[in-house]
Amino acid sequence: MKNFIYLFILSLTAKLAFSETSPSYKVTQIANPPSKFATKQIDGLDFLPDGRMVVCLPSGEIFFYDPKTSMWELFAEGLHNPLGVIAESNSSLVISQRPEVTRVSDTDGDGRADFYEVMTDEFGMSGNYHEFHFTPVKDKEGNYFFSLGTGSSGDGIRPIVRGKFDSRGRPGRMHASTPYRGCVMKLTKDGETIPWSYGHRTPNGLGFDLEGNLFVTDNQGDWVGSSKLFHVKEGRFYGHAASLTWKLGFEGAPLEADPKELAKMRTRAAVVFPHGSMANSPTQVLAISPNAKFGPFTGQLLVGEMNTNRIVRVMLEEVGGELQGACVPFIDGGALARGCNRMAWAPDGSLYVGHTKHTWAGGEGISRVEWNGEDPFEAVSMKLTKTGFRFKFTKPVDRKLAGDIANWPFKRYYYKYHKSYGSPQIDVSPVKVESVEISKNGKIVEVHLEQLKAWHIHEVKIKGLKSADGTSLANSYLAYTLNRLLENTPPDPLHISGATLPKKKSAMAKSIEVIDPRGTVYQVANAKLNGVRTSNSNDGYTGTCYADFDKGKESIEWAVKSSRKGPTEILIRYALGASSRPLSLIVNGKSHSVLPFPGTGGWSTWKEMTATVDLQKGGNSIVLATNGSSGGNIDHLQLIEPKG
Amino acid sequence: MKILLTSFFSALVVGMAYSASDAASFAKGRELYNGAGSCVACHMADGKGQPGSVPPLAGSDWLDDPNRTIAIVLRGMAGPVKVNGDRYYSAMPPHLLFDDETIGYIVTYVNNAWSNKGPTVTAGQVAKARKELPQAVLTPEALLKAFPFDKKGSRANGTFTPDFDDTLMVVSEPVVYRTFMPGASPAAFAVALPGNHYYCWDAGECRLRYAWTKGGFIRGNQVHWSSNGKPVAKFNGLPYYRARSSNLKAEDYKHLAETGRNSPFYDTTEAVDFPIMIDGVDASPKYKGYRLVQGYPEFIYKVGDYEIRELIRTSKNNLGITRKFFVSPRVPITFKLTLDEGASYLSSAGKISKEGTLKLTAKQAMEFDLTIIEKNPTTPVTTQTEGPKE
Repeated sequence: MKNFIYLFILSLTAKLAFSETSPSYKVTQIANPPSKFATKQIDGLDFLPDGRMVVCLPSGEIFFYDPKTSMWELFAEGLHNPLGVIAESNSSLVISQRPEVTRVSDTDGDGRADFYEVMTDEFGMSGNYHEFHFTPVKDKEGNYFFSLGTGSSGDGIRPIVRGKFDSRGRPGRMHASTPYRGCVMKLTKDGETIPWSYGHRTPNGLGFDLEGNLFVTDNQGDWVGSSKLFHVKEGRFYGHAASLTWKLGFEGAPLEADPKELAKMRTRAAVVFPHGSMANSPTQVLAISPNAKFGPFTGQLLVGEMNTNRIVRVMLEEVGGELQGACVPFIDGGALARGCNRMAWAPDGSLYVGHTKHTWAGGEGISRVEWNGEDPFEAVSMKLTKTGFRFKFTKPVDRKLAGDIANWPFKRYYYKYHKSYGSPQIDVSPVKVESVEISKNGKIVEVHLEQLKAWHIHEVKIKGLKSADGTSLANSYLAYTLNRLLENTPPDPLHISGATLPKKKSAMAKSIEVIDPRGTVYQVANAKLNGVRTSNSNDGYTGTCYADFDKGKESIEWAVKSSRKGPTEILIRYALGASSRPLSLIVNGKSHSVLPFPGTGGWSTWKEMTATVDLQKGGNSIVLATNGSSGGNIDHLQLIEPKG
Repeated sequence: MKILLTSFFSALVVGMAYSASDAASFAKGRELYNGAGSCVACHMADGKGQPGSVPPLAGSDWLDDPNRTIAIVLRGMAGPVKVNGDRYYSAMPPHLLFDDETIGYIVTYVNNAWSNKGPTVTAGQVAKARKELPQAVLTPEALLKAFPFDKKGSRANGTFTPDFDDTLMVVSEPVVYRTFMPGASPAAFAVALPGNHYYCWDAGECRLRYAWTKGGFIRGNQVHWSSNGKPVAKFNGLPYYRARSSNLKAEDYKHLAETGRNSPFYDTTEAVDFPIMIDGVDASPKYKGYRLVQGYPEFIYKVGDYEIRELIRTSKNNLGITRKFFVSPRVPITFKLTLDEGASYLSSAGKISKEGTLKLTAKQAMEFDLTIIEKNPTTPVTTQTEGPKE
């Protein structure tokens, strides 16, 4: 669901290409619910514990469907654009509707809802149509998450608004003039409502992976060069400026902020969906659960696509402490309607899909996708290597076709980060394939590239690949969002202006040469960063960047070489605005101490913290890890070894 | 071919200017329209009709075919019609008492009044129609089959398939919609009660905003729901009761259905005039939800530690609404009623002062009824508003 300008753009966009649903999957339609209204759009879909399906319609109606009898029953009506539902029991639902998260229950057992209880309404509504309230999801601890769309410049706001109005958030193509528009929200199991993350534009779809990581999609538009999938973490900012109005400590108007500063604040997407070829308006995130009967993809994510008849599959991996990975069309075209908006696994393991449109390109009704039990010929993973990508396929490949480097036409590019609507692909370059290796069993193909470039999307449209038994690869278009390399990741170039960003020293904080190297210097850029982000906003760091600790479990791991065994002095260069932020020091897997790291008096004032550690001769691991709270900015580690 | 002829004829009439007999027909038609014909009562002297209930005649795209117009006047028409792109439901009664000549004068007048440009209609044309037309009130569908629009015109006009809520003129059980309502925060309710009483309750401020009874429930709400959500609900009547809001100035009222503003008149954190006062409690009301009691919503909200429930039903005499309040735990309250002049007020306990203050003891406040009755409910609506005044 995006701004309407989008429709116009869409009409100019060629149909997404390069793929089709494997014959192992069959798409059928479910008869529509007997709504008394004309519209049959499905805005929420889930399964009750008793196996019935629940759907929400734009008309505010909620229906139950019994797949055994194909009968529909009206459960509730009158809700305001319910855009998501969790069936908590056979008689109680949690609904995201425009004004609230509401628990809708049948308390007298007559099969019809009679109690509409507010779970939270602690967020604002300017009355702008585009302020959708999307999908509640629930974590294993019983906390709920939901997301709040921004308002659109396609209209203004109402004469009476709910919640505090703040004019700082009002300007812009998409605006956030009342609290927490553009945020992912957390409603704790104790009933507290917290803005959880910022910088979302049209976050139509939350979902967890099987490990409990939370994800949200966003739609191409202002500040969003192409649609995205984000790994949501507390307090982070994901790029769309408007919601910063509601971020504690953010001063001034978001649109008056220096875009470079915004770019430094933002967390990159785990996956970017290339516009026009992969997805134009991603929706819900649904993990392929162990209960799903859907082929050899358990644990991967499905992401619905609103504008076209496609469901995308996402394959993630952790690199440099953050998730990133590839996307590939999966269920595509044919009998599947457009507007794939909400998805859920039926008790029988098949996938049900609710279709909607709300005046944008989309569809209506409900589809069911069944797997026939035969493995499709698909890429089951695409992983980063030091020199390229490792593809794993569901079946052995035809060695001749897969071994031909001409069949692996890679290219790379990035999208600009700016307040204008969308972005063209920038710096598009073909990436030369140097060689292709095929594993003995024929299922793994390693593609070695001449160069891998961090912070660029690397995509391939594999040509003519067949399995050894002659089956064509169902979906051959894969796009990998390469943020971090396995090692030596350069700092985020921010991508705020056109063309390749030249390294303008004047535009960045100043880095200095290492003064008086008393031993080998290990920069954070070469360390393994778990959760810690690199930055270069404050002057006086050495090398290319420093590490910026945040709350949560974060750490830096340096691999250091020692010429001898025994006690060795180490020195950690850091800066810290005020107070102290202790970090744990772990050497070769053993806890060493908690280093106090007192404040240095400013973020550009760098000091050194020393410790003596026992090292082995050869390779050692030195880790700095958070100790319950955040840490300072860490520049580098030095090993002070006696000369000679 | 029909349209070509008609246009040609129209052009001819305009081009020639009226003959003496045309002018006489027009003058007679004007007199009938504004007098014995009673046309003016619904279609108004300016021919603009009444927004939402009576289609306009001035500039109406339905006047392209005089034979269709004659048929409507002779036989009447009932059903959904779309005129100049707007939807209407009201029925046009058949005019059985008028002779051919009279109807000719009236149609001639309508065809040429208010900058309309159409042909003079003769008694002969009417007589022919009277003989040929079926003896029944016409549906728009039947009418348009007999007298179709040209292709270009029919794209936007004629008839339409009614939405559920467009036809909701007679309410047999309560209907609760959460939607955008004029004159309320975006967290609003529109409720229709049996007996055709309607009200808007605002969850953003935990209070009844206004009540109305004429003109049916909100219309076209499906468009709000199934589209991108932009349209604010509309209704035809005029509220007989509206709650006081000193956040709003008199000149603000005409802007309350707007969506395109840069800044609001106020936000709900600044809301004042919450009607229920409890000594020592300064908190803003907090909306908690609603329960359906035999289909009627009972709103639940909290003020400090006190829970208030408000169940709104049609009053016993069907002339207004009765708001049943429950306050718990027990505490004396002061209720500040808005004494809108369109309504009269009745409380089951205590006494309403001239200023609208109702003081209740803790025991009285446990459960009490406030009834709001429309004054002079039998007076028909003769003027039409641009939507609700707040």
